[in-house]
Amino acid sequence: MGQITVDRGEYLEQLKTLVNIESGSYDPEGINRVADQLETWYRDLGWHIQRHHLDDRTGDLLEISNRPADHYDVMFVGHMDTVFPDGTVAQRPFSMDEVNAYGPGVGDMKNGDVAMYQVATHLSPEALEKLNICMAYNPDEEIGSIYSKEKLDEIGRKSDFVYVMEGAGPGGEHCFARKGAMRYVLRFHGQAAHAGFMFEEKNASAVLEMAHYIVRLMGLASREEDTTVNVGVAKGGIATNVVADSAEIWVEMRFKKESERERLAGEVDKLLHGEPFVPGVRVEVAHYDDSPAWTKTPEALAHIAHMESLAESLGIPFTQKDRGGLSDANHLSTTGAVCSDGMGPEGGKAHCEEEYCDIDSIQPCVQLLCAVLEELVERKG
Amino acid sequence: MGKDSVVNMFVNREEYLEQLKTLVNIESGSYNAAGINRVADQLEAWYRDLGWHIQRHHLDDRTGDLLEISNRPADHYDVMFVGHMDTVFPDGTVAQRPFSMDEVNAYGPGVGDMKNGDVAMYQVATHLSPEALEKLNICMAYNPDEEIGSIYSKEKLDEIGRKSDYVYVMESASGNGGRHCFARKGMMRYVIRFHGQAAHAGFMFERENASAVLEMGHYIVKLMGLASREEDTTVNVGVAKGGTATNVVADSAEIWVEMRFKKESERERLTKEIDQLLNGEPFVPGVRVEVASHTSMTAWTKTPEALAHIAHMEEIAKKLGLEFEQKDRGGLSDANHLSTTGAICSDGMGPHGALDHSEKEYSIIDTIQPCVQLLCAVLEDLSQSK
Repeated sequence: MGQITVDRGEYLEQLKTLVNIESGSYDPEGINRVADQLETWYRDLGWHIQRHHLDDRTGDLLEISNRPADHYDVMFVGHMDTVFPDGTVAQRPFSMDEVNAYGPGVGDMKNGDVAMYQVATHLSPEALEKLNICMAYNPDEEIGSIYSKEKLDEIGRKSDFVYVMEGAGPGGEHCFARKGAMRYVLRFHGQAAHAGFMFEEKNASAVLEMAHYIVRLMGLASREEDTTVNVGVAKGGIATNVVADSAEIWVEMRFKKESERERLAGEVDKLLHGEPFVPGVRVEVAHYDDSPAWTKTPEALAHIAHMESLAESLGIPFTQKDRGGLSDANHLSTTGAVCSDGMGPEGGKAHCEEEYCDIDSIQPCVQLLCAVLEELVERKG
Repeated sequence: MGKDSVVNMFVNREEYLEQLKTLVNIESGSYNAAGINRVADQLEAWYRDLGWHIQRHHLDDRTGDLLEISNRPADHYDVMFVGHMDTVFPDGTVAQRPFSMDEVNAYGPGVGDMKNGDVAMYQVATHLSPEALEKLNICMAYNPDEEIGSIYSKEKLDEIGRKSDYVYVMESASGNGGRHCFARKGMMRYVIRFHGQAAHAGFMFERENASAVLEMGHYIVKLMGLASREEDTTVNVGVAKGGTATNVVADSAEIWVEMRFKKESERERLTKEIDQLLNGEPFVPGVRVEVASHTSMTAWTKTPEALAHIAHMEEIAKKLGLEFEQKDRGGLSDANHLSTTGAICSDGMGPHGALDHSEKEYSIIDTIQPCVQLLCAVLEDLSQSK
């Protein structure tokens, strides 16, 4: 297992290229432009490319491997979409200073996307010969992998180890357990009327019903259980002087325990099946999905210990911390593969303007992953 | 033409409809200053032929001129009539559906709101007796921007209102043409913005964050709870929007609020409640609440002088065999602000009109005669009481 050195200038140039491609989750063309770029890079390495078209509303899922295979020893998972709306790149494109790189998606997770490619370029010929490696790039992680989940799990089921390349926390902090989540899109159907005649004409404000739901749902959070409830998007109504006849909220709930999931689901059902706060408003669940909480299996604990000792021998910091946020590890952990997450370079402030990626963490990130794979080769003999 | 001859006063129906057609077929949406000025040109020409005194007030390049037309230059008006030349319709509407009529109704953009009132004012001017014209100072004011809240004209109109005794706003009558309006609700509008702090939704107990959407939710519930059925005070949050993604704590949100009330005491109560909300602690620590826009229009209520004048007009109408009813309205007009000038205001004094602001807008032709007749009678009566 030789020493590898990541070319910092080249890496940052690649990161800049990906960050400066606008690719919000609702921008399939942008996501596909990221996919085109990744495809070009891997094609130059001679890897095998599969582009899976999932839905017109999202970009393609990339399944890239060092050879066509029915079974992968290792599956890396990146995602090409960001949470940012169109125009963000124009407003604040990739930039950097001595310490950090900045820009939309720089830490979540275009740095991980590039790190995967760098792992591919730095593996030894032996590792490439003995291991079947899959680099999967998800087009819609930030909206809950709605379209990609099924395909990713299909790949996960034929993989032994999964490394999800979300950014690591400061000090080499990786993640081996994540909260579960439930997501709802709720639609409120009211009845419009001129706002001056609310006591004379029949009307039902969808916006008022929505507001009651926001207050009630976010009140279900529990600090003690670390159960979070967020209404991330709320919108309703068309004009000041018209009683709103429709409104919508996008809700996300996260929990560590199954008992919390049951409590939340029970409370939401009570709300949905009870009388509306505003007589005449009808509430509809327009979308629901959930992800199980990801917890540590004995196999995972053994693998974590193994990676930790490898990191120690390389002088690379290695810590672990469970996370509240969801990633593809939640559903991939149900496929039977041993999952690790937060395996990308270090960063923080994901989903914010201040999002950053710590440049010095790139080298140890790629080095550790290469070492883990080289070691796996040795174990396979 | 004395008091008795009002009974026999006769509006030439064809002439009136021809004039109405002329005005309706001039495109004059509120944002079409040139079109509004073409309406003003036409009115000016008609009144000039009557020998009236014309003042055109340029208010702003974004709107047409305000017309202040009077039977003579004067520092004080006994009577001020108020019309408006703008309509709510976009350019191209006239081409699409110009003035038309059948046996019963006239149709076209602005036919009832309020080009019928504009023509009726002119017809009153042509039918007044020499005595009334001699004894009374009469102002015919034509507003260029009523449909956008008289933003540019309000100040000038109120200036004219302050030197007038009686104001007749020529919005359409309702009912069968005899239903007028002597009180209108007041209104306040707010655009309120909420500035929170974004964070990943999974870390709400670990990282600093403040949900603008949650603050907005509390505001909507609180504000709409300020409505009062007893006082007929309505509060509507017509538009609410915030946040960018499900898994991000929203850092911004916005609501558009409209409140309507009949009494000043209700306006005060609402204002106080909102100020308390705005100046108190936010529901969600860390959220900053900003009033991005606020407008306020006084409620128009009936004073003892107005009640006496209404009773008097009702009596005159009865003598002429004309229907006369009153009904307060929720919508706003120039009467709201003109009522604050001290003048005694009446509204809905134009011919019948209905389904304003829609394609189906119409005006009942048979209501023209009684409208002009009643107004002439009221003025003749006033000139005799002098």
